[in-house]
Amino acid sequence: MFNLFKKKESQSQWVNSPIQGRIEALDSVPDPVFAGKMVGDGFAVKPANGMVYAPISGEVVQLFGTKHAFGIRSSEGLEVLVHVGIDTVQLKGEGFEAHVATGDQVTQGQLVLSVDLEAIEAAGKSTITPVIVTNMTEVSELVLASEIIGSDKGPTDAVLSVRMK
Amino acid sequence: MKTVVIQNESGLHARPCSHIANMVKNVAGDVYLIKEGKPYNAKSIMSLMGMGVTKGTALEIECADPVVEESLYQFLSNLSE
Repeated sequence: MFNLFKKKESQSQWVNSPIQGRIEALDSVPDPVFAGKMVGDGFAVKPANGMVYAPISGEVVQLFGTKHAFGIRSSEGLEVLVHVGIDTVQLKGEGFEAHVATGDQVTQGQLVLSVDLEAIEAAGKSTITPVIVTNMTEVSELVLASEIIGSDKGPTDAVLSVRMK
Repeated sequence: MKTVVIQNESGLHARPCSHIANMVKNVAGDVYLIKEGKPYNAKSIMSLMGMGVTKGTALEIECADPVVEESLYQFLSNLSE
């Protein structure tokens, strides 16, 4: 129990893009909750296809019933939310298929969701996908290299560097 | 402790969860939303989203600050989006 208080300086962790696509800054997301970083800091990706992978290794702490978003917590305590599209909670799971369940352990790059991007667009929703660190109070450093913005990245590409306190 | 029944169609999704966490982050002491007897840390967005709150879910609010508790109650009672 007491060794909890003797935690050594933590290493940086890489958050990969969950989807193949173009990396965008969060402030370009057409939703003030994400653009204003109310949920946390991170990046967004404009998907080129609908295969969504785990951006970090860890436990699936939340997979929404509507399957439009999921959260993973790493063993180091980093929590990352992937929210596929904007206002997609209103689609009630239509066009979303889950390949994991809440409580599962996943490894970085493991397939989590298959998403019908055309169904999202047909419903008049944006497919842009915020990837957010939700427990910013436990993070000491978060780095998104500016040259990554606008570039094409996929599930094997590191995008965001995060160091926990 | 107050009890509220969630009325909006989408339940507690990203937007209301981030709003709740921001409302309570400066409360000195613990804030919990309790669903079916299980407490969830209201300062953690991931914890709130993990509750799986949908329309019709009854929640108890436990908050060290009565003023914030009242505003939480008002916010949750009037969720419409």
